[in-house]
Amino acid sequence: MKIRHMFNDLVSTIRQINQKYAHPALKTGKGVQISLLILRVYLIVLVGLLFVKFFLSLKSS
Amino acid sequence: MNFLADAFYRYRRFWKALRMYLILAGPGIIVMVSDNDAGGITTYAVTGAKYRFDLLWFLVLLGPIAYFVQEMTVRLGAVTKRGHAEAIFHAFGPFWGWFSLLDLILTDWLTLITEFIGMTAALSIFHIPPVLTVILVCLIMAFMILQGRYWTWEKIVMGFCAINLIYIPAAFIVNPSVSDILHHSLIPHLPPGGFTNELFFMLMANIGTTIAPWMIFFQQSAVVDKNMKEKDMAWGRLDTAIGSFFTVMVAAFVIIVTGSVLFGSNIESAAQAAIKLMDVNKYLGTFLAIGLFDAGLLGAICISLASSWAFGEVFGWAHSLNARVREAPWFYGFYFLALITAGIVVLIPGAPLVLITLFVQVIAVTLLPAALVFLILLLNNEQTMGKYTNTLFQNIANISIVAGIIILSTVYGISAMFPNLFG
Repeated sequence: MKIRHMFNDLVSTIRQINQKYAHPALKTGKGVQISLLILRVYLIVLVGLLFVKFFLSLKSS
Repeated sequence: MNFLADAFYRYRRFWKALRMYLILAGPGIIVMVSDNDAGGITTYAVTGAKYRFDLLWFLVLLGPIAYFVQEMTVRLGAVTKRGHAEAIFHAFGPFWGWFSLLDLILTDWLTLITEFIGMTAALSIFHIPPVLTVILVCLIMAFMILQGRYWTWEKIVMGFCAINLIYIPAAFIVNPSVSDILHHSLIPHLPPGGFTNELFFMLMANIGTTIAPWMIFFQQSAVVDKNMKEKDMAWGRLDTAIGSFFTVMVAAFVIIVTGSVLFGSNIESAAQAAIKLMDVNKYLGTFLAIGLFDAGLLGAICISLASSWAFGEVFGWAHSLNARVREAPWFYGFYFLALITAGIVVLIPGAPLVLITLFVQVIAVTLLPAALVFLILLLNNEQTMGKYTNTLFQNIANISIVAGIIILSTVYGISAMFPNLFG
């Protein structure tokens, strides 16, 4: 019961944080937005590679 | 008489400036010296053993690079009064905020494990069992953080930073050729054998130990916790410059020691280097082992705090070293949770420590470009930074550094995951 209560508290805190920062304060131009999009793709690719490596390590062991 | 009055005036002015610096010094020196953590000392020991003094010039180049990156955190912290995690949430919204925070927490925790690996290896040379080392480290760090004042904590850490200079007397024991060292430090050149995959890995490992994501988060939070103001920025810059000088100097002296004595030996870790040095001169080995322990401890101190500060900022918990435990229970709780769990992992028999070390590199690589890009964007935001935005020269220098690091770290990250990809 206590764990459930703590979990609910955590979820509500995270929701509050998301609401608090919902509107980014930095007004960005087109160039910056494109850079951030590229960064997002770059990170997704790198994280994807990380998963591939993880499964390859699992397979080899 | 005029001469005496002038000399006295200059002396008073110098003394006042020195006192002011000593009050404001801390975050820059601590972050830079702690950057030479257990992993760093291992990298330098291996660099010296493999390439003797041939990469000293590269380290000299890394000093200004580290300065340029860290100097931005001083300005950002002093102007916005926000830690880096909070600054990212505020400026870029929840997606990038959570990404940076969770990536930081994971990287820091894994790096903390590598610090414990270094510290247990160092003290095992003196026949101290790992379990005792872990308990000792947790007690030292508990004592430091629970005394309830940022100022005291900072001065104790500065004491540990001073121990990091132990490599200097070690270098004097080996008595290397000064002209040889100067020649290799000042003239960029490739080692005999030219540019190889192994050399690329070594160069990247040296970059990775000089600029790490946790450093950005740590220094900005420390600047805020120390309550540095815009007028103190010049001292913060000086502090960072002195720190970057020390980080390069300590690294160079480790390379000088291992390059002089162990050149050509197959060294894989700093602990192994210390054991081999014991055979040559017991003081040399002892100095390297003490230095390795100290480096791991400094790394652990800063890394665990960087995470706690970041979490505290975002979750709105009290997150200052000036707060008592009952005033900031989550902040201290998170600190000890990270510390104790990382220590326990090292004690698990057969724990995948090699895999952890690999993932530390790769995860750090994923965070570094994001952290650096955000830093540049934040420092160019006139609305937040006012007259402290990056100048044209700072932008040229920083964007070149960031672009170079992104390209190199991506190649490094991919080749660390797939060692046979590039032949």
